Amino acid sequence: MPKTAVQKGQEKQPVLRVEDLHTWFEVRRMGFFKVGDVRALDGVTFDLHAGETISIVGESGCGKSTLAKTILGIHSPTKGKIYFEGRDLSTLDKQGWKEYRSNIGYIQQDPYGALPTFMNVKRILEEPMKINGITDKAERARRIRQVLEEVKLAPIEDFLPKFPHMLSGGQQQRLVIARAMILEPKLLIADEPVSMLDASVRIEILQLLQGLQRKHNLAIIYITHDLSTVRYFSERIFAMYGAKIIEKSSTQALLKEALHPYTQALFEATSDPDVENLKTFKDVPTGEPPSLMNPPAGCRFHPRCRQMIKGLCDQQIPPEFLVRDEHSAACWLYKDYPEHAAG
Amino acid sequence: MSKVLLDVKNLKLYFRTRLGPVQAVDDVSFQLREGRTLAVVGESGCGKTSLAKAILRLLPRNIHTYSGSIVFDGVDIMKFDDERFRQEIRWTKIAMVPQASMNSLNPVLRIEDQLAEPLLIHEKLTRQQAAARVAEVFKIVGLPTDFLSRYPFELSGGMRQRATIAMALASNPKLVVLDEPSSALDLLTQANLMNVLKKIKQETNTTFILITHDIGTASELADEVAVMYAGEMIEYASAEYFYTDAHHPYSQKLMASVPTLREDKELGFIPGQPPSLIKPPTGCRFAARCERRFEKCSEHPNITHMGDGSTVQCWLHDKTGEVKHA
Repeated sequence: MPKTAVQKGQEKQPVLRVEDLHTWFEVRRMGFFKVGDVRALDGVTFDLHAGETISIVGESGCGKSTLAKTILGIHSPTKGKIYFEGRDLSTLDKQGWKEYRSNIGYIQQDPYGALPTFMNVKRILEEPMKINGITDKAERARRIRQVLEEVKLAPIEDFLPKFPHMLSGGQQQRLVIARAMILEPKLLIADEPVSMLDASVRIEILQLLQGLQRKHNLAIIYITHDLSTVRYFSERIFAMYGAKIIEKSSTQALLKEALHPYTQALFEATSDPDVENLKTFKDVPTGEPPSLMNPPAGCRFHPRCRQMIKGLCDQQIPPEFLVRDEHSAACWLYKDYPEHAAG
Repeated sequence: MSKVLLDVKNLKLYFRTRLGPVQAVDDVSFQLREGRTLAVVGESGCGKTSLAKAILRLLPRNIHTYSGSIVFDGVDIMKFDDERFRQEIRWTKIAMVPQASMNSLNPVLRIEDQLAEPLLIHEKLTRQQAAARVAEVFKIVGLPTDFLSRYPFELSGGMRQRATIAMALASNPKLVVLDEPSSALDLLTQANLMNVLKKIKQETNTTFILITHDIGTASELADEVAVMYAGEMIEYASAEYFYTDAHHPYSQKLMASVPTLREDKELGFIPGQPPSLIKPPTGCRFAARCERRFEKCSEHPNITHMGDGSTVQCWLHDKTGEVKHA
């Protein structure tokens, strides 16, 4: 599959800039006494340019969905800044937020859960336009036609009166994508868009997203736990563990050699269809991801890591080391490499 | 070669609905040898779980047809009445780990009591004997025995899944049916669980049927692979042949749609959807989505035995296993 080759100009302004983002949730006992914070997102920094896809991989509870929801404005950040086309989100007023939200599309994991059961396709797609002040009926109809054509829900007339339960899983996900695209956004956030779908339609949906990206020069954040789809879909990969990004890399470089022991474990754990698998055991760390209320000191992966350096990994938080061009890891194993300035 | 443990012939399971019978399992036949693992793969709604339920006779009330023969360990268990089936077969000889069973442990019972219950009822063991056996299977699945006195909520998802597998193994069944054992788990937990199952498979002589939609994970355990489509078993092959050279066009397409991490390949997808199981097409059920269909496909294909021991239900392979190019 051809990659969406995007030469990101460094001088160009990124669509999205996330700076040292923290999202903590307070934990209260009996609704009053604060007992601590769940640090769901703990210092995340990156840039995203138009026409570019970044994948965020990690297991459940690593903070990848919190990152998406913080960017969407569903959670407000505890610390740190988000810039959309250079504008700081914390300075936006109500009208500004409305405009910002119409510029980001959100694709949820469970299409059936994300669609209102009592609305038909036409209403589902009309609703966001009504809210965002597109009053012209003809214009709304035109956009609905266009977007349904783009997600290949044809014949369009047949689909308009249908309710979500009348659609197959793949069609429901297309409708979710159509709804995300209806306001012509600049950024799409896809949170596990294919994990609930059958293998035979997954690729179809991912190729559809890729086609939309090329056509509209979209920036996409693709959140997944499945490393094998990432390979076909994005230019850059960020691996998250324990609310932090632990490895940043171009897809090609990461596939050649993962640096962080956790990313290596993710690789090892992914099974390709191969009879040889039957004969070998997987070399993966046991144990559980850390509690985000009392995360371990130092590197959050150190209790499960076999290459742990005593006195260092369990005491000091590793900074990002730039191991090669566009490939950095937050791991003390690479301490001889230069520290990477955030970004 | 080991003896045939399970011999299923013309198994049918239809459900009654207002619109007509749903042909969830339609004329499925296969044999499984002792100590082997069969992976049943297919898309959602293809009848994988219904097949498992038909074998264990865990049936809902709206049964339209339930027929065929299941010869287990030399005895046709379809002839047993329900009470005899419950006492002699279910859970004592054939155990099942249902889908998402890790979330179905009784929250107010300690793990130990829960695991011991089938032993007390089916095997008529004393409490001490049952406790000893439970501790034994707990070690097999790799859980520390001091977790036995805990409640389900004190265990993580992966541990609870192991506990339900331990529960299935406790009564020493000859056949264990695992329905999507790892799909709700995280990647690393899933890989660890597969290691555990592989170890059990190597160390004991247990036969497994693994039901999954994930062809990649299936290759971790499968000796044999059966592909189901729209209620029918359209291909049955040893894993060796299936993963290198599947015969049925659907199996080939399915393999091509699985993204791989370690090698670059051209990915494909299968356009369209599986047919309704209420009035499925009379010919080949995959024909509408198949690129290689020809006139013959409007008739129902026979099961063809290929030279390599696999069977395939496709007109392309009919006539002494020679591939016809349409």
